[in-house]
Amino acid sequence: MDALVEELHWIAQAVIEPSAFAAIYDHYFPKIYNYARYRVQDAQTADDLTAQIFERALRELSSYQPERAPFGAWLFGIARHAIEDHYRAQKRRRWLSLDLLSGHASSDPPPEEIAAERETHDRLLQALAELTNRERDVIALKFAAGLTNRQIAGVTGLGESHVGVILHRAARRLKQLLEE
Amino acid sequence: MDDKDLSDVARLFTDYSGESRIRETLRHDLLARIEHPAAPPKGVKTMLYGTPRRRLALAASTLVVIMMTVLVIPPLRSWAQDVLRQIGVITLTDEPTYAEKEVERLNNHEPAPTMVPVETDPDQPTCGILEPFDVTEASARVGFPVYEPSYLPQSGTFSLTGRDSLLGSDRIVSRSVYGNSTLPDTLMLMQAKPTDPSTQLWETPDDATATDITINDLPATWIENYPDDETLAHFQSSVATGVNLLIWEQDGYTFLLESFFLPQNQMIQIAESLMAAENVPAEASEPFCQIHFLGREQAGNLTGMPAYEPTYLPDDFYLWSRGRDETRAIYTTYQRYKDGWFEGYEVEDMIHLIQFRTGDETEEIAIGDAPITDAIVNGQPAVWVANWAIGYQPVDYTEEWKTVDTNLLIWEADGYTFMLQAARSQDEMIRIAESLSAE
Repeated sequence: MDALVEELHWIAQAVIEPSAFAAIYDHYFPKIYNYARYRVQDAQTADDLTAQIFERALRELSSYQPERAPFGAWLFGIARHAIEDHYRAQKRRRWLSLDLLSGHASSDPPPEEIAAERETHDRLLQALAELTNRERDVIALKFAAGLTNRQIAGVTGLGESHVGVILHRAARRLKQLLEE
Repeated sequence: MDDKDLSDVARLFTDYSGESRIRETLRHDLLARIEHPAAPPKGVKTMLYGTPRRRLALAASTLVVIMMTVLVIPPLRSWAQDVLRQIGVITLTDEPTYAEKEVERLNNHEPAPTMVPVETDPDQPTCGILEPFDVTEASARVGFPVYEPSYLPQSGTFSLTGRDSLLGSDRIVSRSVYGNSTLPDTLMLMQAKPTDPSTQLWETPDDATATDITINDLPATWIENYPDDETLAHFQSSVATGVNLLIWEQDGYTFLLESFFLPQNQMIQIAESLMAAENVPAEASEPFCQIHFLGREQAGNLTGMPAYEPTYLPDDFYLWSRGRDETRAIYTTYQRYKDGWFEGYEVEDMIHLIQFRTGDETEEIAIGDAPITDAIVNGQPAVWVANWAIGYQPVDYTEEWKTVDTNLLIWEADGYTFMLQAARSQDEMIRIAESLSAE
């Protein structure tokens, strides 16, 4: 994530060299996807947004200026804009997801471990929904994308100590909500 | 502050990236664009589909999945208590509606029922990948003769980079791209066949300065230095400020020729040199790269029944998506579109039509306590269900899931069962229903 020499080399080559872009893509895909997944809470939408984010990153890669920001901050800037645009485009509603309906319900009970994992996931999403937009963003950058507090500060424009305060406050609130 | 809070919360998060359905295809697509820099990027690709207005429509269609959710057929249930009415393949029961049950489940944080995983189609091509096949193969893929220029300018060396084909909502398109080894230019030829011959495939953008010219004595439009932002952004072009476009209709096709720098006289010369491929199969041999929805003809071919369409829709409503459920049903959604964008996602902005194959398995649709009344569509008995609930959640996720009422009109015609769902008046929905046509 930091401006590693190796990463800068990839970025410089990525506009013309597929293997260089592949290295960037493979490194950042899980981070970007998970960030999107926990921000929009829907797998299909996370896929769509991740595709938009990387397509835009490729288009604008040659305009990236390493001296202005680490590459990860630049990429997550694109991601945050894409997610904000998504919310704006959807206006104010989402409809029951196709994922809930696209297959016929099975009469077999789900395996216990799958059911338990899904329940944990659903409860976490519900608890996340109780946080403020800024708290959700910071939590997703921290735990879904795996960024450090300093990197989150670079992405959000917040001070590093402020990020720490938000994280602690949000984590405590999440735990309270999950224990209710 | 307690770091245990952070570590406890961290353990709740899961790496879902392995579940992404697009990880490999997106990677392949992006790398191909780098490998073939002349490959049409998003901006150019969308030009293929017509005007900026149309482009917006396609962008909005990326949300098709969310929109289609409103009226996907509820699965057969065994718990139906009382059958209220049967019409065609549809059985109405007094169970709570699907949305009512699902909203309750979501708000109670109960686990979802196990779903059969959605399988991807291995034969489905990845969009946006150019392949350097010849004009005969390009023609075989789309099922009509692809035209090729017999003249290319000598300024630099233009040569074929690749071709692809796409299926839009109202057109089949073959695209050929010619790169230039010495000049920073790319020449693109797009040949579009409307799926409905009456469809006008090209509208000159409002912000373009167009000139009327002729190509082989046929009327044509010349647009110089059009600021196509997406195309220019992709190419990171520091030398071009726009694209030159030549558009004309010939032999039932709409052609669009695009270049950064070629002047009008050379573009005309290329256009007038086009020759049609010979010995072309009458039908497409390859599955199309589909952009989110099926063409009407393709929906018909895939389901084995003609796809009906209304000839009347309320003002500002346009086709938004079309899909199918195996061969059982065709789903078509129309959405309000105004001032350059689909207006919104409120219940009143959408009209859904489902056409069921009669004679196959029946569909149970739970309507709860929504009142049923008789209606007439084209002189035949129909059923009107008022205040049928569908589900939604405010998009910022801060509120609970809710239901909102809409209406259903169900009737039979020509051996098919139709269901229209919209938050419109009964008179207007009947008018839409009576305008359905297979032609």
